[in-house]
Amino acid sequence: MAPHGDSPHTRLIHRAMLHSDDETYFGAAIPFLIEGLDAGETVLAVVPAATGARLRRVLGARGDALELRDAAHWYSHPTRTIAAYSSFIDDHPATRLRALAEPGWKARTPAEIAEWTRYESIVNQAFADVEGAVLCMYDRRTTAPEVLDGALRTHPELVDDSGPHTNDAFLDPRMVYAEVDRRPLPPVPPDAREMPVDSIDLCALRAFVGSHAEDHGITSARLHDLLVATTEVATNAIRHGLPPVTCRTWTDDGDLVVDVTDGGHWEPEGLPGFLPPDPLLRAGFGLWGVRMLCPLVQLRTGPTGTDVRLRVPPR
Amino acid sequence: MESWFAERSVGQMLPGDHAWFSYSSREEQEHVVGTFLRDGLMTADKVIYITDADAQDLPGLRTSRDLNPETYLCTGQLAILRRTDACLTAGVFDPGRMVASLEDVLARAERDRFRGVRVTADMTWAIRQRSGRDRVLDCEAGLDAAIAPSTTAMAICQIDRRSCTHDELTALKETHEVLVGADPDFDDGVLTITRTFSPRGLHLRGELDGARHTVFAEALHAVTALGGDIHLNVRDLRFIDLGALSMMAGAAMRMAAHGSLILDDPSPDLTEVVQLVGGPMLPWLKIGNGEAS
Repeated sequence: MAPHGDSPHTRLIHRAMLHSDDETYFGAAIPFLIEGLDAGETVLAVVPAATGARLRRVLGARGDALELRDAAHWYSHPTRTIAAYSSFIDDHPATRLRALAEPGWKARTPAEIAEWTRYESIVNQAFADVEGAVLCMYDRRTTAPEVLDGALRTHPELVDDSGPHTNDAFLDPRMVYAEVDRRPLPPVPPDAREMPVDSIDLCALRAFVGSHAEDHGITSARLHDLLVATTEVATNAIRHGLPPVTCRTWTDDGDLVVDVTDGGHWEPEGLPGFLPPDPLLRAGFGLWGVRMLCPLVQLRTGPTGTDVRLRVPPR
Repeated sequence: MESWFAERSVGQMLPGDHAWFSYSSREEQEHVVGTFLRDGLMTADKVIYITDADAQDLPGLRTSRDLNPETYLCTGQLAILRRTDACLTAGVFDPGRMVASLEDVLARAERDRFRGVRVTADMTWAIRQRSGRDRVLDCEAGLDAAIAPSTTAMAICQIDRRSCTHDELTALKETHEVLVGADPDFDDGVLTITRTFSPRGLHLRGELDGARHTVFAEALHAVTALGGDIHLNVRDLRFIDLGALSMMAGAAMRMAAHGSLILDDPSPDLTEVVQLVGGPMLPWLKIGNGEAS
C-alpha cells in the first residue's frame, strides 16, 4: 500500500514508550513481538544491532519470522526512513504489520530535532491506512529532553507499565508540521559567499558549490549528492519561482549550508517531498529526491519569496 | 598495446584521413556513411563511391528527401565506379588496380578543381573472396600512401564486422590511422549526445541538466521509438539531474512492453543516486555494462 498525505481514518496504531531501564523495555517489547508473530503478522524490529541480537536470543525459534533491520542505517535521515518503511510496507501487502522501532537518532541541532519530531508526526498521516501497529521506544536515560517532548506530541498513544492509553499531549500532525516551518531560519551570515543564478544552465552553479564543498571536506559521493540536490532546487527556482534567484553558501556549526532563494510565492500542499512519489505519475520527484539526498532540507515560503536551505554535516 | 588510432566523428574527418569504419547494421552504415556522402555533396566536394549498387541505394541517400543523387551524378560531382572498372581482374579483387583507380580519380578531381575529394567503398565482399584478407591488406597500404599525403582527399573503408573474424578485424583496423564513428546528434560543449548502434542507444557525455532537457527528450524519444532494448552509455556523463533521470524512467515505463532501457557503466556516484532516488522508478530502469542482453 502506498502512503498518502491526509486520510480521515487512522487504522495505524502508533504508540510510544518512554522507558528508563532494559527490564521495562524488554518487558514491553517481547510480548508485543510475540503477539504479532503468533498471529501470523509481518513483524519488523528496527533496533540497534545489539538489541536485535538480544531479541533473537530471547525469542528463540518463535522469532524465526522476525524481520530485523539495523536502526543505525534505517534512521539515517527522516525522508529515507519514510521511504524505507514505505518500501517495506509495499513488499508485505498481504498481512497486518507490526513494528518495534527504536529511533535513537543522532540529532545534534534544534533544527534536526525538529525535523525528526516532524517525521514521527508525519508517520500518523503517511501510513494512516496501514493495518498495523508501531511501538516506538525512547530511552529517557540517553535521549535529549527536546526529543522526548517531541515523542509526546507525535504519538496518539503511550505505553507504560499499565499498558497503552490515550496520549493527551498528542497534537494534530498538521500543527506539528506547520510549527517546524514557522520558525524563521537563522539569518545569512555576512561572510556567506553568493552567486546570482540567472540561467537554467547550472554548470557554473555546480562549480561554485563544488569548490566550497571541497574546501569543507565534502567529497566524492556526498559531494555528488549535494550537487544533484542543489541543481534540483535551483532548477525549480528558475522554472517555477521568480527572479532574483540567488545561491549562498557558508558554514554553520560544522555544517555546510547551501541556500537558494527566489522571489516567487510558492504555497506547498500536503507533505511536500516527504513521501515517495507514485512512479506512474512521475510528479513530486524533485523535492523528494532533494530530501533523499540531503540530510536536512529546510523550506520557507511566503509572500516575499521562497528559501530552500540544504545542510550537510562535515562527516 | 596502447591504441595509436585517432578516433573521429565523421563530420570531423580531415583531408589526408584514411579512415576505418566497421558497422554491424545497415542502420549504422546509413547513419555514418550517409553523413560522409551528404556532407561532401552539400559542400561541393567530389564524392566517389566504389560499388555495384545504384545511386538511389547508396547508404543514407535512399531515405534523403532533400538530396537527389541523380542530380549530382549528372553534374559529375558524384561518381559511382563499378567494381569491374575499378578493382577487379578476372572477377578477383585486384589491389594494384584499386590503388591505380584511386590515384586516377584523385588526379582527375584535382584537375576539375574540386575543393575536396571523398572516396568510400565497402570492402566486405573483397575480404570474403579467396585470399581476400591478404589482398585487402595489400590494398590498404597502397590506399594509405595515396590518401595520407593529400591535402584534399579523405577516404572511408567500410567493413561489415558481422562478416569478419576478430583477427581479420584487428588486422584490417591496424592498416588505418583513423577510426570513424557517428557524428553527435547534439554537442554544445557541455553535453554530447551520440547515437550508438551496437548496442543500440545513445552515448551521453558531459553534463545533463535542465538546460538540455529538451534536446535530451528529443534524442531519447527518437531512439526509444525504434523498439527493442535501448542502452544509454553514461560512462562519460559527469552529471545528470533528477529531471533527466525521471525522463529516463518515464521512457523506460512507456517502452516496458517492448524492451528495456538500460543505463550502461554509470559511475559509482550516479549508481548511488539511481538506487536512492530512482527506487520507485526501478525496476523499469536497469543498470548494465554495455553488453547487449
